[in-house]
Amino acid sequence: MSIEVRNLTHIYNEGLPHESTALEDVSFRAEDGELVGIIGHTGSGKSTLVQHLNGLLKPKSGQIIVGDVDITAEGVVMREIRKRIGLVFQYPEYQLFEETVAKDVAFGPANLELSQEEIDLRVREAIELVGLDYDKVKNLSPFDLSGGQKRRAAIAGVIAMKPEVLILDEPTAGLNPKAHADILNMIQTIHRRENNIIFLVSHNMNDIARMSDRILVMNHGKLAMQGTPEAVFSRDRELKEMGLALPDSMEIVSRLRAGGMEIDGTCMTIRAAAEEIAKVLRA
Amino acid sequence: MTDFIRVENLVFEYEKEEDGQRFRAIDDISFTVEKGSFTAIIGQNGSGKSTLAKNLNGLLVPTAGKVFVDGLDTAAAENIWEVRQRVAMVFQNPDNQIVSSIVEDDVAFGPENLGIDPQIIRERVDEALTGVDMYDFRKKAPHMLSGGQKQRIAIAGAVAMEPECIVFDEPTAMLDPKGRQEVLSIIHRLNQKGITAVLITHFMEEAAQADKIIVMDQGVLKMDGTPDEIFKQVDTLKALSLGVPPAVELAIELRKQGIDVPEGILNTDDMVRFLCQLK
Repeated sequence: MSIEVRNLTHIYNEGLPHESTALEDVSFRAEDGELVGIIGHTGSGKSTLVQHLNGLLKPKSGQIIVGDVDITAEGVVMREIRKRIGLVFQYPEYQLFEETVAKDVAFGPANLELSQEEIDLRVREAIELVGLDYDKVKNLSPFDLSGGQKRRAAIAGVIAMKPEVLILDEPTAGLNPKAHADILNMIQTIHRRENNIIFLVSHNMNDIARMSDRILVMNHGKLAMQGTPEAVFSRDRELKEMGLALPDSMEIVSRLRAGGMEIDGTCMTIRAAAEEIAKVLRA
Repeated sequence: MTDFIRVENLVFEYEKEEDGQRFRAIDDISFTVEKGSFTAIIGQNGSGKSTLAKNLNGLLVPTAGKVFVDGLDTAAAENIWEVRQRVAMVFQNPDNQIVSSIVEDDVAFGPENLGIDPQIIRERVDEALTGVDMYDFRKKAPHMLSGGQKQRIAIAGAVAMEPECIVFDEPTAMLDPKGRQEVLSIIHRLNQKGITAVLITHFMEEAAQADKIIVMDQGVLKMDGTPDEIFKQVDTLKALSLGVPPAVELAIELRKQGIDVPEGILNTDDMVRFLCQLK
């Protein structure tokens, strides 16, 4: 499976006085097993972009090819597309609504015309995959879970659809450091298990640097850069002009370099930075 | 310095909607907030931070124990307006706090409800918007602004009430890096002008810039001290599902590499300065 976006353009309120171009000629491609980070300041077009990827929005022009289906074409059955592409919105726990965790997670698959057996199996698998104890939580009200657990339960509802493409919009916003780390580990587990395409939208540059195979940088509706974390975060001046930041370790290293220390390497983690700094100090 | 807020053996319980059982969200905590100080409150999700915040301006009143704001008991019904006038709140999601369709009307909403003279409201609104660098946006519609800008409008709305203290409940959680930086620097600027600041946050580097940090866990106050004292206790913080600022993490890793980094380096500026003088 692959997903290919070709020359995507979207205009809000076209023809009205306050029309605005939210996406302009955006093109990229992602393959199975890739984790693609998406960064950009508020209003840069990230959310508009991901809403196109599962067909919630229709583009003004351009195509999105999922596998061999052009989902922007006339007459495409959107139900089929949304089965294959799961979107987890920001603060997904606000969308929990069922009486029990198991029922909530089952809501999506139950709409897929699967056998009850298959639904039950998927619910169990999804709940376990997000790191919750199925037997403990299945009969609990989702509102009895902690903040981090609620979010995992909500993500399980999307995982249970077995999407080939999973889009996560700010999955760690508002979580404490431990719950934050747990969600990231969960995403990696899902990714390894399902070998799907994951798009991770985040303002947290540490997470993006650590998790992504490739990064898309959005700015004013355009795809301003794409590349490996090393390549993207080495363009620190351009990122700062776009209102973006570096991962913490690279920010420290960049300021040490400005102060005259000749530090090697990309230093994408604090540990890597410490090793490189120690080399310079020992020399 | 004098105590502005005094929390004495505060207990807060509520009935859970699902099963009607009583839940103790805050369990016998005591601390003080000094006038003009900057206090950060950290703790994992569900530790009682937000419930505590709402007890600081009488949005919630104690089940047991007392909260005094400027000497006023928040549980006394006759004090409630005076308490809220002194302690304003800014919440996480700016979209939930903006009520008007024009920026300056929104900022005027609070003072209007205090029955203040329109001329004075005008002055306060202009001053509050200037204070958060949003004066040029006064005629705009809030929904056309970025998250950081909207949050600054919400802060201006609080400032226009001329409170002595503002409680910020995770005001940067939904913002991009630039928006976060904008909002944080506004909070520090207000604090320097004398407003007592209480900041609830999940970002350890934000907490590191406070005068004092309070650490909550399961409704209990686990630690109370200066950033120096708190961030020294790395293992305790990790056990509470919390972390340390990047500079502290780097100090730990550098020590593993045999570099002697003194205690008390909590932020990136100090770390960069320290390392550059070693070289």
